[in-house]
Amino acid sequence: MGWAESKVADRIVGAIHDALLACLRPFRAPLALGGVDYDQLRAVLSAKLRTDLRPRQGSDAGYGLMAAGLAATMLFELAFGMLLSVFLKLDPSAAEFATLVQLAVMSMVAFPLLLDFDSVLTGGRDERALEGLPISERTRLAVRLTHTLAYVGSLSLPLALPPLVFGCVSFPALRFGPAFCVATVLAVSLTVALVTGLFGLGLRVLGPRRFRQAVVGLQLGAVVTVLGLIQLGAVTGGTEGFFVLLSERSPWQLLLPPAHFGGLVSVALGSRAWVDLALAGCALALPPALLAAAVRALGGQALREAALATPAAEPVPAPSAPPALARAGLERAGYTFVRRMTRRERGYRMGAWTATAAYVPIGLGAQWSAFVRMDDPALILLVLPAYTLMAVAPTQLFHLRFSDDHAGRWLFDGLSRRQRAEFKAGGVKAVMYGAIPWLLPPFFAAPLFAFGWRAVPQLVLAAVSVLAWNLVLAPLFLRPTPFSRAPSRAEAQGTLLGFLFVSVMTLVAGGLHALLQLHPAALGVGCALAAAALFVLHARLAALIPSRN
Amino acid sequence: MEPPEETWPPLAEPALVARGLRKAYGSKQVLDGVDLEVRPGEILGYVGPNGAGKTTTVRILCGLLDGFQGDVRVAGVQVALEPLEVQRRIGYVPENAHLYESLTAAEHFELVASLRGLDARVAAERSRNLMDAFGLADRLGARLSSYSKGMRQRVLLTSALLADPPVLFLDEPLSGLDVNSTILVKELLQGLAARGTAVLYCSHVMDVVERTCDRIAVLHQGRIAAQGSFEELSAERHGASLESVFTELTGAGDAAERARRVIDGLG
Repeated sequence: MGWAESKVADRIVGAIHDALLACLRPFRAPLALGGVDYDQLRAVLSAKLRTDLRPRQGSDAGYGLMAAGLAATMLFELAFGMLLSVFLKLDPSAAEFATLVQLAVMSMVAFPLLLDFDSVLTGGRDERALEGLPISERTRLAVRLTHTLAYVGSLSLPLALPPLVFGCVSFPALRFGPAFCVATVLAVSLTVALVTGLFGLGLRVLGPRRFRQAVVGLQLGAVVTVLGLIQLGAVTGGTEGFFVLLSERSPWQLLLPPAHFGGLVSVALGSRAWVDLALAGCALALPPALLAAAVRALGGQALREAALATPAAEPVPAPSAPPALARAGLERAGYTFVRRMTRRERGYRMGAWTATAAYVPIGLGAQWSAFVRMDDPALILLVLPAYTLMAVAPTQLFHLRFSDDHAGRWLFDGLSRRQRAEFKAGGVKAVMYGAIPWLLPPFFAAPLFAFGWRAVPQLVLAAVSVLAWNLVLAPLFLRPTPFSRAPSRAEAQGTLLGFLFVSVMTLVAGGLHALLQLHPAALGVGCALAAAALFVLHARLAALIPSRN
Repeated sequence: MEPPEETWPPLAEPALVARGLRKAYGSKQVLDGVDLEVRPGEILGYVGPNGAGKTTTVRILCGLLDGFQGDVRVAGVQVALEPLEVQRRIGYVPENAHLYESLTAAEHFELVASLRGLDARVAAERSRNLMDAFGLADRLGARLSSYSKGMRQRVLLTSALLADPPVLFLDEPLSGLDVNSTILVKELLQGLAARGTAVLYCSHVMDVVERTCDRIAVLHQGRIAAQGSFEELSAERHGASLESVFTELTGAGDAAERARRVIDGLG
C-alpha cells in the first residue's frame, strides 16, 4: 500500500483539513453579515482543501498542493524562521524583532501570490466544477480569498513559529506571544489584501477579458518591480537606510507596514508612545479596510468572467529550427511544438516567465556587488553561471511539464520510448537555446561594463559550461513529455525552493572560479573542455533523456 | 440561502420560455431571435449542427451567461434579474464534465447537497438510490479520478437530479454512456416528465431525440429553423426521419459527396 492509500495519510490530511476549517468558524457571523453563505463557503473550501492535500491520482494528477511539495516548502520556511530567530542574539527590542519577522512573513506571502496569482485567484477550474450550482458571487469570492489565506497561511506559519517560541523566551511571554500571533495573522491578511487589491484594480481598469490577457504582464511587472527595488536598495546602500527606518521609531514608520506590527507588539508590552499607538492602530485598521477594498475591486461577475475568459488565440508563426539546433524528424517536431507552446501556454508563461523575471534583478544585483566592489573578472564564473542559466533553465524546464490542455497527451501515446526521448530532446533544446537571446544581454552587460573586453573569455567559459551543465541536468527536470501533466501549484512552489538551488549552483560555480585561480592557462583549457562537452551533450541529448511518460 | 423545497410547488406554465433571445460574442451574432417554450411534463429536444448556439442557449437559460437580449424566464423567474434563483430551481448536466477529481463520489454528492441546501440524509439516500440504478453503488467511495467518462456522466446526472428540480437542462447527457445506461436515461427522462418535470434536452443523437422528446426545435445559424413534434416535422417532409429533416433544415448537403471529398483529400 502506497502513501496515497494509507490510513495514516488519510488521517493526517483529515486533521489538517479539519484544523483549517475550524479556523473559519469564528468568522461565521461576520461572513454572514457580508452576504456570504457560510455553509456553502465551508463546503466548497472543504472540497478545495481535500483536492489540495490529497496525493494525486489518475487523470487529475497535478492538481492541488500535493502534500509532499507543501511539506518541503514548510520545512524551508521553518528553517528560515530559525535563521530569523538568530537576530535575537543582537538584543533587539520586541518591536524591532517583530518588525523584522513580519517583514519576512509579508515577503514570503507576497511572492507565492505574485508568482502563482493565476491559479490562486483567477483559475477557472472551480468555476467549471461548480457550474450551474446556486452560489452567489460574494460566496464565490469568499471561497477564493479564504482558500488563498489558507494557502499562504500554511506557508507563513512555519516561518513565524520559531521567532514566536524564541521571542516568548526573550520577552514577557504572556504579552509577546498573543500580540505576535495577532500581528502575524494581520500581516498575512494585509499582504493578501494588497496583492489581490492590486490585481482587482487591474481587473476593474482593464475588464475581464483584457485582464486575463494582461495578467502575465502585470505579474511580471510586479515581480520585477519589487525585486528590482530590493536590489536597487542593496547596491545604493538604500537597504541599510531602510532597515534603520524600520528599527528606529519615527512617524515615517507609518508608511512601512511591517513596522505597524512592531508597534502593535510594542503597545502590547506596555508602550504608550504616540508613534507606537498610531502604528498599532494602523496594524489593526489597515488589513480589514484593505481586504474590504480588495473584495469590492474583485467583486461582481468580473472575477468569474476573467477566470472563464478564453484569451483570443493569436496566430503563432511556426518557428523553424536551424538544422544545427535540432535534427530533422521528432527532435525538430519537439523543438517546434515547445517553441509554439511556450508562447501560448498561459500556465507556462505565468510560472516560468515570472520565476525567470524574478532571477534577473537578483542576478543583476549580485553581479553589481561582485564586479563593482571587487575588481576581479574571474568572479564572473562565481556569479554569472548561477544566475544566468543554471537557475533559469531548470525553472523553465520544470514548468514545461504542465498544461491545462494536458489531456492532449494522448497524441504521444503511440510513440516508442526512443521516439519520446527524441521529442523531449527537441523541447529541451528549444528552451535552452530559445532563452539565451533574452537572458544573456542583461547578464553580460554588467561584466562588460565593469571589466571591458578582458571579461569576454570568462563570459564565454561561463556560458558554454553552464549550457553543458544544463544539458546534463535536463533529464532530471523534464521527465514527462512536454505539456503533458495537469498544472500543480505545489510543484510550482519549487520555484521558491529554486532559490535554494541557486545557492547550491553558486558553490559549483565557486569551484570553477577556484580552479581558474590555480593557473592562467586553466581558462583556455576550461573553454575547450566545456565546448567539447557541450558538443557531445547536444548531439547525444536524446540518449540521456529517460523516456518514461 | 433559503432552504430548498422538499417538493417544488407546481410550476406556473410554461416552465421555460424564451422570446426573441439574442446573444453576440463581439461582432459574431450567435443567437438571433430564438423563441422557445417548454411546459411542465414536456421534453423538448434541442438539436442543431456544431456551433449552432445550443450550448450558449442552455447557458443563458441556466443563468450562466449574461449580456443577452430578450425575455427569458425559467421556473417563473426572470433569468436576467435573478440568475441565482434560477440555479436553485434547475438541474443542469453540462456538455463537458468538470469535477473535483480528488473527491469520492459520495463526497461530491455531499458537496452538491450542501450547495443546494439539501438535507444531508435525504441527499445521501437519493444519491445512493440513483447510483444504484446506474450500477455504481459500489463505487461511491472511490475517487472521481478513477471514474471513466461514462461513469462521470452518470455522476453528473445524479448530481442534477439530487434536488429533484422542476426544470432539467441536459447538454449531451448520453455522451460516453453505454447502451444499458442510455436506455435507462431515456426511461428516466420519460418518467420524470410524467411527474411534471420540464426537460430541455440537447443532443446530436437523432434516434434518441426522435423517440424520447415530445417536441423538437432545430437550431441553425442562431435561429430556430423548425419546431414541433416529430410527427409534425416529419409530415411536412413526407414522412422523413428526423435525421433527414435535420439534414434538410441545416443544409448539410449530400453526405456521400462530402465523404468522397474527404477521401480524395487523403490523396
